[in-house]
Amino acid sequence: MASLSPEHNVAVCIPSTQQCDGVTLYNINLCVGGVQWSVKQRYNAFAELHEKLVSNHGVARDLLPPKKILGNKEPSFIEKRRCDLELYIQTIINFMHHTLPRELAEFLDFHHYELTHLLQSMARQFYEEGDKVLSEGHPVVFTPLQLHALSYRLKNPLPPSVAAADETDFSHVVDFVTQVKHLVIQGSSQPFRASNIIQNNLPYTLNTFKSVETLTLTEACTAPIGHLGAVRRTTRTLQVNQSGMTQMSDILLCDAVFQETVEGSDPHKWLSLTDVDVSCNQIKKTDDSIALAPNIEKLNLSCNKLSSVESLTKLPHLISLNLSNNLFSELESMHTKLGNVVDLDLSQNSLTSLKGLSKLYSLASLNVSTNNICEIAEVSHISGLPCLETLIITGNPVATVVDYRTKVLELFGQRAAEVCLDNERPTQRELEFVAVLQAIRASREGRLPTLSISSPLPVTTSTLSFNRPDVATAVSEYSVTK
Amino acid sequence: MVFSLAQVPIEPGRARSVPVNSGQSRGREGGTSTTLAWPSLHSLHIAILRGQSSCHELELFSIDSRLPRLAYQIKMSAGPYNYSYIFKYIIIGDMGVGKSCLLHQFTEKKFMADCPHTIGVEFGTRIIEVAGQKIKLQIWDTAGQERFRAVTRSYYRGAAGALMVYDITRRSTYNHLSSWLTDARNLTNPNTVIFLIGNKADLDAQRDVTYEEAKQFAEENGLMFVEASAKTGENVEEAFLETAKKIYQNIQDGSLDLNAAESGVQHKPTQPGRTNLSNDSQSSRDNCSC
Repeated sequence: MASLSPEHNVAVCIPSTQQCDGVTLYNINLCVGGVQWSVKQRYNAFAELHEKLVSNHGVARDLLPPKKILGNKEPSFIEKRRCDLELYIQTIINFMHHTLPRELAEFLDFHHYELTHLLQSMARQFYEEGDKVLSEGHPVVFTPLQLHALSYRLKNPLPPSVAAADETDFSHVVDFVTQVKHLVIQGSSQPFRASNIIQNNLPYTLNTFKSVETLTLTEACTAPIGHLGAVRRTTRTLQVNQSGMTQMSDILLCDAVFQETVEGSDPHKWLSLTDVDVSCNQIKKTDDSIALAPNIEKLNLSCNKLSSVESLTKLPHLISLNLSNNLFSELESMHTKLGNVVDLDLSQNSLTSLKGLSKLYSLASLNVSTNNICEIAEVSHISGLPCLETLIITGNPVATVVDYRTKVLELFGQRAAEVCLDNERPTQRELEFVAVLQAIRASREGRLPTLSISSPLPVTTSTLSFNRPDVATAVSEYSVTK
Repeated sequence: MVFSLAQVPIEPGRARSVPVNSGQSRGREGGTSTTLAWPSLHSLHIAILRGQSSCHELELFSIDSRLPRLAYQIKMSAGPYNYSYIFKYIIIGDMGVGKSCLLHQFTEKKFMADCPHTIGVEFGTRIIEVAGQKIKLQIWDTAGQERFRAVTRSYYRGAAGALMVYDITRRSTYNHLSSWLTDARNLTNPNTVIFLIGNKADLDAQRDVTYEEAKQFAEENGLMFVEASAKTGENVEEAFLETAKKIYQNIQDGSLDLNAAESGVQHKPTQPGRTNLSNDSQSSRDNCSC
């Protein structure tokens, strides 16, 4: 990476020009220790820079090629000026590449690409706005390049040319970073701005972050993270999206040399972690490393490549699990694979049967929308779940069946009124209809109809019985059974 | 701290005041909030127990249109953000003398029993008060190991205070002080306050360096000196605070020039208080029924 140490030469040239909105832009190419970038500047910007360099740094006034008012659009003139400006900028760089004044560094975009100046501009920003940002508690976005610069600086001596103890002092960067609570790492696999830097390839460590509670990685690879430090201990909410992870250990063990879980390997445990969102990755299998975060309550695995769940029994606190938009086609005895899960989202998979859910008694909310469930009878597998109150089946072929809602609700027997199907509570009319269906079924099976559909009003039962005392007994009977 | 709310309409003779003790109920994330609502309230005194490291925001968020009811939300922000100076410190000394433990004891008020070796440099901050001024200390804790010397040396520059630590139970760490002092003198500026700390004072039975000889060494070299214990916390605060007092004194008597490069001190003008009263009491005055 580009760091202005004495062994790094700064090579600069102006190979071409371009016209943009009637202005001639000169393409300046820079190369510092393997990092290349380009900057586009017009002549006026050169002139402004030159003014500052003359007044602040004693650069000779006649160094810059002169201004020209007329005929400055002629190709031959532009070509000559390009050569002159190239010579000018090369002379200036030769002259000042050790100290590199801020005006010049910013003119050539050093503060975007080169570590020392990048850190200085970060320090200035944090010195001025850091306290405000922290007090408001907003998430702070870092790029891998910034984190790389930070880690590099901590591992290597501070360059002697950098002025200390002003607003560009490195202490301000570290001071800010140690206090950040909500860290967002926004990565990219594309070249950074107009350079050849691929941010996701840059290694960095997070051990300077001491107070991170929420860690979010977006489009950022997990492999370059060298050391997590306190982050592993303090993080409560972890979100890794679009990072191409193929397994959980990619993030949970991102800084370990051997990505295998050692039983009881305490130093790698994420003990504060309760909320994990690893949606939109390439996870094919939930591996054992999940046991490193035993306190997870909420796990979002949507938009991955899962076809089965494994190792999730290692999460005794898991309450909410999102498996939507994966590759599940069948479920097998889910109660042996999941513990006390209350909220399960299996929408947008290719499920044809709900059989595997029949003993997951803890479920209170189930979303199986947009799957491939065709038979009303499939619902009977989950109608016995005693706590189920929210059920979403819409988007399946079964939802197009005539009287689909009442047929589904009927399977819930006495609990029909408690079930919220497809985000709608059963209407009075539906409940009446359900009661009729249940009566028919009961008579077909040779049982006496029980008048115990729960209902706030005795209207439902009035279709089946006409004298009030009966209703009263039915209602009291219901309240007793309940 | 008492906020007087001039915006609240007060009727002569009927003013009431309600003292409020904040910080009792948990509220929005990142802070503690208390919602207060009283009918017929005309004057409100809110006393906030001001924590050492928190600042408070008071914001008026709703006024019932019919009753002169006021509801205030007090939000205590999480971090320390008001200070007028930044002092840069560096902690130096041999490996294992307890530099990181001293820092941890000072910033967290806890003893870190199994402290790992410092890799390169570590960092800590705390806001202290000297002569009524809030000062933020930015403390660089360096690795004692020789192999990190190149990295740690670059942090001497621009330090306003240097804490030089030895272990009273190991004579070798005391013997190395002169080389640490040479480094410190060469790499810091002449005004840098150097404070000598004899750590592990709790292990008096294993003492290898007497208080008197260390005191004499300090006097000969013009250093401030104290024996401290990162384990019990004894004299730890004092060492950091005395250094800050000395630096502050140097600023006051003009021997330390704030504008000089590498003074290690930055003046940060205090922002106008974070107390924020957004008020639309006009509506309550118009609709006041009593």
